[in-house]
Amino acid sequence: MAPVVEKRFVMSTATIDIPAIERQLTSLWRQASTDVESGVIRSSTSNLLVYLSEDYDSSDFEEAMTHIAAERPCRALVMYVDHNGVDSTITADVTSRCTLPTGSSKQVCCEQVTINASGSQINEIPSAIAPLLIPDLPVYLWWRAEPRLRDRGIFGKLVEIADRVVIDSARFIDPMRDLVAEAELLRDNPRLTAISDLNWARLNAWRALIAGFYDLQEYRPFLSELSRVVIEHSRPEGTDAPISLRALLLGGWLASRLGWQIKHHESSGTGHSFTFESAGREVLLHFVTTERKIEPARLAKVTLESAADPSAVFSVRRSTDSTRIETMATAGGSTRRQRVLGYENIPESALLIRELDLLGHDRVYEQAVIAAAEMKF
Amino acid sequence: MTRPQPPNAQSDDNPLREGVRLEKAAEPCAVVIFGASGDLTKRKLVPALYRLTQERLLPAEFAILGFARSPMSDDEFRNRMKDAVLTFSDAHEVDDAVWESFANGLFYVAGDVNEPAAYSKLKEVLQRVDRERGTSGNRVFYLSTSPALYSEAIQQLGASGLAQPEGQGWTRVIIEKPFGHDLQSAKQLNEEVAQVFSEDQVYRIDHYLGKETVQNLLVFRFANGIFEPIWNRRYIDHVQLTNAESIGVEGRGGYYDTAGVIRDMIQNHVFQVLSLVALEPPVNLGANAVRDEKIKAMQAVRMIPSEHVDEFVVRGQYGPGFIEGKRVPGYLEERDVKANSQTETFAALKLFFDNWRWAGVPFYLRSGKRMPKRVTEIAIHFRPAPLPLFKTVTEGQTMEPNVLVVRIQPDEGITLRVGAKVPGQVTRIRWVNMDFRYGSSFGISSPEAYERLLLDCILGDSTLYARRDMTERGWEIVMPILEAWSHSKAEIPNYESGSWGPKEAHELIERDGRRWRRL
Repeated sequence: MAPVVEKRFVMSTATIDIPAIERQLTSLWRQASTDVESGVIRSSTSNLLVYLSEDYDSSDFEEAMTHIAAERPCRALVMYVDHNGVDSTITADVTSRCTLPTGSSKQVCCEQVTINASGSQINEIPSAIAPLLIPDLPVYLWWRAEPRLRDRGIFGKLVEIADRVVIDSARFIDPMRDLVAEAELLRDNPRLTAISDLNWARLNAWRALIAGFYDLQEYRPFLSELSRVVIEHSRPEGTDAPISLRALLLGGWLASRLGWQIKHHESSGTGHSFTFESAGREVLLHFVTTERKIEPARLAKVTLESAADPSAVFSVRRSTDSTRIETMATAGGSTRRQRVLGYENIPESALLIRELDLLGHDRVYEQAVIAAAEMKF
Repeated sequence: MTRPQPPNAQSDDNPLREGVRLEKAAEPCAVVIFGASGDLTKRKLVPALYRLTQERLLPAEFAILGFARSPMSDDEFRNRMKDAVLTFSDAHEVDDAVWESFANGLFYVAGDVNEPAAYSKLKEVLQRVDRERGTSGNRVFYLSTSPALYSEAIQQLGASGLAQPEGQGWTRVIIEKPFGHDLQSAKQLNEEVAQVFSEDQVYRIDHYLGKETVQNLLVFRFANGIFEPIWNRRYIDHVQLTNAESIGVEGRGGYYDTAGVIRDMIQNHVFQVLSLVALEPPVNLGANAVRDEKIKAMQAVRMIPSEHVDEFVVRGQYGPGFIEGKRVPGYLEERDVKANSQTETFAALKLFFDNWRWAGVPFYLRSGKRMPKRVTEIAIHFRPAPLPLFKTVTEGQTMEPNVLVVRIQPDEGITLRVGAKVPGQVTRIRWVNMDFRYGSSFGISSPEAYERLLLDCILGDSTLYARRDMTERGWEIVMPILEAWSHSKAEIPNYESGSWGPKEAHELIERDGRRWRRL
C-alpha cells in the first residue's frame, strides 16, 4: 500500500445545509492545494456511503477509511448515527484525506463529509446524502450496522440510491434470522440493488482451492460422485448460533453450484448434518465444530469425499495459527497432491476495496445465500 | 430468484469455477527455463511464478525445471531461487512450510544446450515430474539463454521429441527478445522455429505488452465511444511517441554495442506500442483478431528508402554529462564498448502510415538512453480549432491544440490538454490538463508484466505476444535505416547525457512546424 498520511481540514456546520457543505468542499480544496508545493490531485472513483451505528465497534473505522482513500479515492459520505441519543441533532463536517506522494507522483486527496445524527434527525440523512453525491459515479453503501433488510426506513432509502450494498454477515447479531431475511429478499426481489457480503469475500481463497481440485480432468468425475462433505469450523462468539455463517455460506455455495436439493436435517453431539439429493444420490453435508483453537467463526477444514470406485478425498485445511492453508488430494487410496500456501486474514478495508471494483449482481453469491438459508434448523 | 438449475457437473465445465477470481483455470504444467542460472530467472521468472502460485492462480500440479550448463543439484537450485524470491519479489519473508511446498516443485537439470544427451536427460526428468507432480505432459519451454543459442535449443527440442505434445498434453515455447539481429536472421530463426513448432505453440515475449497501460490502450480506444470517431487524419495532426531512459548501458555494453537502440527498443517495444495506437478495431479480443489488426497497421507503414534515411531518421550517441546532478560517462567510456563504436543510443524517426485512417499524419518516434528522465508516452496532437475565434485574446501566446497523452511509464495515466478561460473580467485562455492517473484512481500495484505474460502463456492466450509476421515486419521497416547507417559514419557522440538527444532530432520535427513535447 502507498504511504498514507491523513491530512485533515475540518470545518463544521451545525445543520445540514447543502450549499454550505459544497462551499466548504470548495474552500477545503483551495486550502489543500495551496498548502502543498506540488499541488494535489483530487480524485474520486465512486461515492461511498458508510452507515455506522452506535451498536457497532467503529474504533478501527478511521484506519480502514484511510486505506480505502489511498486505494480507491472516493467521495465518502459517512453517517454516524446514535439511535439512543437523548437529543435530536444533526451536524456535518468536511475532511480531506491525502496520500503521501512517492517519487514523481503527486499528492492524491479525496474528501469525506461526515454526518452525525441522533434521535429523530436520523431520518433526515437520506435527503441530505442525495444532493452530495458526485453525479455519474457509482454509489456504494457500506452498511456497518445491524442490517434491517426488510426496513423501509433509512436502510431502504439508502439502498434505493445505491448501486451496491456492502454488508458483513459476520456481524449479524442473529445470523440465521438475518440470513433467512436476506435470502427471502433476494428470492422475492430479483431487481434488488446488488449486495456484497464481506463474509462471502473471505471465502474466496477456500472456493478457489476447492474449485481447483476439480479443474483437473482426472478429478472432475469425482465432483458428481460427491457423497460426503465435512465443513469444520469454529463457533461464532456472542451468539447462540451453532454454525458460523461462513461455514453455512460455503455449504450453500456447494449446494447451489452442484444443484443439491435438501432432504432433511439432523443434529447430534458432533454437529449438524444435512442430507441432500443430487441426481438420484444422497450427499451428506456435515458441519462440525473444530477442536482446534482458532479464531471464532472461521473455517478450519473442508473435506470432500467421493464414494465412487476408486474413492477420492480432497481437503483444504487452515493452520491453527492461520498463516498457512494446506490442500491435499487422495484418490484411489494414495495421496497425490499436497500443497501449502501462505494465508492471511484479509483486513475489512481490503475486502471492501475489492467490492468497490464490482457493480453487477454476484449471482453465485446470491444463489449460495438462498441455498444456505434453506439449511435453517 | 429460484434455486439454480440442476448442475452441469456432467459437462466439461467445472461448476465450482464460476465466480471464482480466475474463471479460466490454469492447467497443470511444467515450465522449463533454459538459462536458469541467468539474471532473468532470478529477477523476474521465478519470483513471478512464486507470486502466481501464492495468488492461487497456478494449480498444485505445477513444476519449474531449471536447465543450464552450471552443475547444480535440485537443492542448490531451490536455495538460489529462495534467495531470488526474497530479494526480487515483494515477499520479504517466506514461511518455511510454504516455501518447502513451492520448492518441492523446483528441479534442476544441468546440461549443454548443444548436447542431445542433455535433452534425453531433460525428457527423463520431465516424465518423472509428470508422474510425481501430475503435470500431465503439459510443458512451457522458456528460452532465456543467450540469443545465439535459441536456434540450437529449438532444433534440439525438435530432435529429442520434446517439442511435440504427448498424449492430451500441450507444448509451448516462449522466446525472449532479441528475436533476430536483422531481418534475415529473424526470418531464419522464425523458419527454424516453424520447422519444430506450429505458430500457435510459439510465444515471442515482449514485456512491454505485459504492462497495464499498454493493455489499457485497447480498452481506452475501443471501450470509449468518444475517441474512435476522432482517431484519424481528420482530427489528428500528428502523433509523438517517446521512449526515454535515463540509464546508460548498465553493464550490458558488450550486448548493446552489437545492437543499438533501433534493434534493442524500436523494432520491438516501440513498434508494438505504435501498432496499438494505429490499428483498426479488431472484430473480437481473440489473440489472432488483435494481432491481425496490428500487422495490418504495420504493413501500412511507408518504407524509408536507404537513400532518404537522413530525411526521416536521426541517430545519436550520448557523450558524458549529468543525470540527476551526477556526472555520468559517455557511451564510449562504458565497459565492453568498442573505442570507436558507431552504435546509436538514440534514434528519432518520422513515419507515415499509408492507409485510409492515417494518410498524411506524421508519427514522430524517439527512443534513447541517458535522457533527462525515464518516460514512455504517446501524445496524440489534435488539429487546432478550425476558426481562431479567440485570436484576439491569445495575442502574444500560441493557440495550443488539444493533446491527449497516454503515459505508459512512470506514473501511468491519461491526460487531455484543453483550453479554459482564466477567471476574470477579460477573456484569457489557459491550457490545463485533465488527468486520469492510474495511481490516483486505482491505488493497487499492477501485477508485474512477467506475471501476466507467464500466466497468459500457461492459459494458452497469446494476445500479448508477438506473432511471427509482426517480428519480421518490425525488422523490414528498420532494415533500410540500419543498412544506410552501416555505410555512413556519424559524428558521434552528438548529445550530452541528460539532454533530449541531438539537435538534429529537434530539427527533424521543427522543420515540419512542430516541436517535441517538453517532458
